[in-house]
Amino acid sequence: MASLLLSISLALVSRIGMLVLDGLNHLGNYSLLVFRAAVQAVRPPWRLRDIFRQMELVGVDSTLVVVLTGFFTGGVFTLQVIYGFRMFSAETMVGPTVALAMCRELGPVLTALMVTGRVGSSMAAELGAMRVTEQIDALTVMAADPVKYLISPRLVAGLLMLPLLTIVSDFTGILGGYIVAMAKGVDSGHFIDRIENLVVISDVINGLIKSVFFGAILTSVGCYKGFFTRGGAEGVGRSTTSAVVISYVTILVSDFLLTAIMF
Amino acid sequence: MGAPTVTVKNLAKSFGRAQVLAGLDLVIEPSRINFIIGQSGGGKSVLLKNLVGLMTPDQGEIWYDQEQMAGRSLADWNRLRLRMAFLFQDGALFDSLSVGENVGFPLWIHQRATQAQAAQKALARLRELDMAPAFHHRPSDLSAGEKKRVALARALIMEPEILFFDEPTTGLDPLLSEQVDDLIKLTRAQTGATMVVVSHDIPATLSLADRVAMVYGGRIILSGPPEEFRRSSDPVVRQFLTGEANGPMGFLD
Ligand SMILES: Nc1ncnc2c1ncn2[C@@H]1O[C@H](COP(=O)(O)OP(=O)(O)OP(=O)(O)O)[C@@H](O)[C@H]1O
Ligand SMILES: [Mg+2]
Repeated sequence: MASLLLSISLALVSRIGMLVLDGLNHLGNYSLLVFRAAVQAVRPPWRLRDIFRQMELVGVDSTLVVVLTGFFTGGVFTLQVIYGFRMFSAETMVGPTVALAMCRELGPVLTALMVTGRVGSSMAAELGAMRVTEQIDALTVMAADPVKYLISPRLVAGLLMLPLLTIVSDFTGILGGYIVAMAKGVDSGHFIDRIENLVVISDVINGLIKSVFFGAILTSVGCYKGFFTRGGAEGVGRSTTSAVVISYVTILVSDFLLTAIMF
Repeated sequence: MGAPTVTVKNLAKSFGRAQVLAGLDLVIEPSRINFIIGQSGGGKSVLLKNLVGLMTPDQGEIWYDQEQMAGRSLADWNRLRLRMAFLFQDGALFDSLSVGENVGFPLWIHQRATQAQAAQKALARLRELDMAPAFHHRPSDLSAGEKKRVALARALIMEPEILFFDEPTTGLDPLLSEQVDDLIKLTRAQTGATMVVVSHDIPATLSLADRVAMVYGGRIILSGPPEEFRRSSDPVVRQFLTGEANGPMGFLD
């Protein structure tokens, strides 16, 4: 009996140990890849054409989806806030509450999650397909660094576009909130005055700082998963799924940590 | 510099417990068409990848003329890679670029040309291979044989001194295979480059090759001119040439 317990616990420990080692291995490779991409991003020649193309894919093409999520999230949040605040006649605080929530949390996080679904996944799929069809090997034997050509432009685009999209999301969220508040009979002057009084520029800035981190996370995880894809078309599917899941979890965890540090 | 001689000494490569290359020795002769044959899964692609630095061997040496390359830095490899080209089995054309951009890409990234000059040279190359009309097409719209020709155009644009082909004719119909074989012959004649061809096509091997090397059990078991293969009494070589199922060479062993 004792020996059985011992062998089970040994097996368990070695299994956990293996998972930890595997995780550390991934973390090491991931860090190395991000580091190389960052170095190549600042080292000339700069691939401006590739960067602009990625900015278009990450930024411009995501605008509609970000506008829609921002608008309706701001709207529904306002509905709930009005319901709660009416209970103790705090309706004048609806405006700043919505604005703070959008700028500090909802804008950056929702934008990052939406862009992960659209762009992080497609980066993993595209690079994964390039890996399994030997396009990445082809770049290497042409003496063209695949990290510089494929990953650096995507990383830069993520860093630059996520804050811009977040501003769009913040704005449309507050707009959605404003429209709902008007429909619910909240005083328009109060809504706006109180926002001006109570929301300071650092609330917005801190949200944008978060979004820079999120942009780095979703592009780097998507690129890492795609870049190291194995196992043909099936492997590409696996990379895509795990890129999205890992990005979601990492974004939410780092949101918590960043919030604890900044606010 | 000119077309290089490649000398491989005692090359070994394992994946986990499976030893794919087990102390392989090989000489690739300059300005010749060197064929490498062997059964599927025998390690031919692994050998090529080691030769161009896409994989690092566990052991052994890879000499390009007087320079040992195994285990060298990326910068050293990249210097050498400017002299080489690799034709992947399915072409490995970049999906995100047009045919013309694919062919001009090496010139453009190595800043030997502006984009317009690169496009012009790419068009000239494509014309030689009858692919000029596809200049603005996407690689995904091409047939397998067309992809192969575009990939060859891209491989030739930097005027390489050594070319590697991984199964250039596998999956092509006989007519296209013959076209590709002719292209290999023509390219060697025009450029004097060293050609390294991995192939399953025995008739093409025997008619095209200047030198043939056969990989078996992670080593080269026979290497020499094609006549030597025709004459060989080695049971493994005989079985491979005649394509019989029964013999010393097991089915995918
Ligand atoms: N990256 C890798 N990781 C693990 N095993 C590998 C890897 N690359 C190749 N192998 C294994 O090495 C062996 C030789 O593979 P290789 O692709 O070189 O064969 P081949 O001679 O080119 O066959 P074919 O003619 O079918 O292309 C195979 O058993 C393969 O599974
Ligand atoms: Mg192969």
